[in-house]
Amino acid sequence: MRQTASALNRGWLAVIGLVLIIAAAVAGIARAGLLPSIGRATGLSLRAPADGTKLLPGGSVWNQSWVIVVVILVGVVLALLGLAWLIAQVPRTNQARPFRLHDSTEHGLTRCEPKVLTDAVETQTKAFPGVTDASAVLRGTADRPELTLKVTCADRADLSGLMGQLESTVAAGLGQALEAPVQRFGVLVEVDRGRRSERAVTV
Amino acid sequence: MSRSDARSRRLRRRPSRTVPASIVALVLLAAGVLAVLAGVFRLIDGSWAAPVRSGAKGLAGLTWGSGAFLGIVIGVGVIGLVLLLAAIIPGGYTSARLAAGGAGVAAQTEFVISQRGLARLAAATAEEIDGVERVSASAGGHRVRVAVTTATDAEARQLRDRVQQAVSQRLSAAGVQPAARVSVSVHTRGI
Repeated sequence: MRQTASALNRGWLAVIGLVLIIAAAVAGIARAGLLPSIGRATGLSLRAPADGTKLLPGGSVWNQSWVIVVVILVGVVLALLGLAWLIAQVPRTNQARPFRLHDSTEHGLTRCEPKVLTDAVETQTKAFPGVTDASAVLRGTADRPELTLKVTCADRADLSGLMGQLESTVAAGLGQALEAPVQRFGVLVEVDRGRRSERAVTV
Repeated sequence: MSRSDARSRRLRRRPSRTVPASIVALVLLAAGVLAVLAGVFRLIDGSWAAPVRSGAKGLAGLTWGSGAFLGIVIGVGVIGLVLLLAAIIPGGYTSARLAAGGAGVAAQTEFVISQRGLARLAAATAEEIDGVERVSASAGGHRVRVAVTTATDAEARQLRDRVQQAVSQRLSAAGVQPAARVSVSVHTRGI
């Protein structure tokens, strides 16, 4: 139902993973003393760092003003990127904007909020036998609506029959209301754990 | 793919890697905030804060030949590999397809049942079998695993067959496609 940032996550995980792998590989090659042979093979002048050479520059470098400003700027960039990426993890409904059903300057404009339609769809869906809960999301446009339903059913519900009824009744009804056929109709089924009550009579 | 274009996506999806992405995002945010705080305090106080100085002392001692540096390189490489694998390995689908519809009302239709729903359906079916005391079920890939507990092991084999048949029929009637492979294990309740 709700949409997650799958492509964004996988893309950036791959980029960061590759950067780390390459950095580790380069550092490993330098530590192993292979830089000069690579330099000879590629025509570059590369020197291997001595084992005793320190990794980081001395203390005086870190007290220069420009270094401190760079540290702050890099920190701001990292913090903003991290925050934006965290916010992107929140699943989005990505619902349609209000539908303009009759867009005419002569006869006026009719705007319909998607919630009006989804409330009606949810009420209609919950009336089917075996359905314990339903939620709907309307996407697309008034001319090309897309309906997604999440239906929670009892474990004894006839799922196959229910899917057919949802398409022939709910999706068809929405298409009639909008005077435009539904372009995409998706149903996600959840099964209710259900509570069973048992009663016993002792005679 | 924008999530503000009001377009539907497929319901049957691969995992979106939210957990590793959130962890990396938190690390970036924490590193950024710490760097900003350290730099601002340095500008205000005229010297780096004590935690920054002690951390810098440790890093300043690192040399190219030190064992600690080798450990850092290996650690960075392993983390990078884990992130890369998390990105490229697709992962199992979060739901199973249901064969249904076909009324031709919508141009595209998609009916799916969540893996959790599939497991609950299997568990509910197994619960109705005579001899079953407790049931637990899980679903993943195209497999449904049902574990039942019975009082005696005298008819465990027959019970396993009955549960497997009932669950397979239930899932088939529901239209799960492709047909899920049902495996049943029977445990005897200790007296």
